[in-house]
Amino acid sequence: MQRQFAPVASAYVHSTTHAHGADLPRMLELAAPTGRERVLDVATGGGHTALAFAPQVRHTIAIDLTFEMLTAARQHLAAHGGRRVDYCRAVAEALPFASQSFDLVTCRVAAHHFADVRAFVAESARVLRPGGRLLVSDHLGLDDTDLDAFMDRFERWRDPGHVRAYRFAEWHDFCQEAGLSVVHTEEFPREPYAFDSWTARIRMPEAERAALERWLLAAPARFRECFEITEQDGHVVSLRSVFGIIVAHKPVLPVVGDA
Amino acid sequence: MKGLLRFLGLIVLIAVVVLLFRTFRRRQHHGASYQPPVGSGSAPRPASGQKRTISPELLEILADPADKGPVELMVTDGKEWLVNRRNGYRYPVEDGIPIMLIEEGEKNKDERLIATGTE
Repeated sequence: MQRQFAPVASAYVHSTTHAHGADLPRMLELAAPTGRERVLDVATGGGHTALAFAPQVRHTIAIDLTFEMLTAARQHLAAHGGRRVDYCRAVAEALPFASQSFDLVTCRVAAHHFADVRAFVAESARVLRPGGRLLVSDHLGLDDTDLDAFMDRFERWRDPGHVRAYRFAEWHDFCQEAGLSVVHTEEFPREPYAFDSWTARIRMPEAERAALERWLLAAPARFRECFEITEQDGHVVSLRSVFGIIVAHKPVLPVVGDA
Repeated sequence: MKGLLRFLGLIVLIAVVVLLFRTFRRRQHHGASYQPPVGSGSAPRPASGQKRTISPELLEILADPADKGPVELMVTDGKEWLVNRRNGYRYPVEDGIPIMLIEEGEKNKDERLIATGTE
């Protein structure tokens, strides 16, 4: 994963989808910080979530697996007035923080990369103080298994690091197992992928890009409609994936039978 | 008498000008050396060329990702390490960023750092 993201760190800092996605203000709105929070941003990437939260909270810690991502994020935040932000290299599945250290844990467009998403949710639950919340914004899995498999295929074809997009029902299970309760879910439509920049950002080899394009264009109408695959002169112009936001709460009192 | 007064007046005038000039220069100098805190945590950003250090706020909650217990900041030959005294794991700090990966801590393990029960 780090080998994948190290050379493209700056592409993620400057990516418009990552920097200006409308889900970011929505996450902030759902979190409604009071200014006293300590926030952990997991898999910060270009640091966009940390930058959005930093002015509205007491302290933000941004972690990522890739060192180059962290230095790129630090540079980006310093240039844009990000204050009270610290950086740390760590994996989502083994967080290097004392239990009950955070009021909010955020994770935006990254959970689909995690090798063990259950471990990430369990670790988030551990580092949250009672009453704290986990906010996840990510790709969503689809209930229709054929559509879900199709989406999974094109996402992983472009990005071999794409592990899985989970359905809301799965997020409910992960959270419940970790002692968190999901208090809010919403589908959050994101702007369609512009095929050229979507494949260029991850430096998809030309032959693979062309093969993916042919495969998308050959898909049955139901699939092309669902993912809004648009075409011009035999080329894919854009396509859409499914995204959503999950908010989970750590109960103040331990769940009965758990204590 | 008149000449003497004029002479004294001139001296006072020069003294005032010198004093004003000095005050002005000191202010300017002070202004130039002041840098607003930017970037990493509550710690002020080090001037270029200076080493970045971990902010106390981060240090306060950092833990060994393996056993989740506290880590201690130690400086060895000018290099910062976050040390777990229970198992000797040492996590390096690169350019002010703690590298808190279990395999890094294990790789840099130093058993001499393990605190004994009597300590």
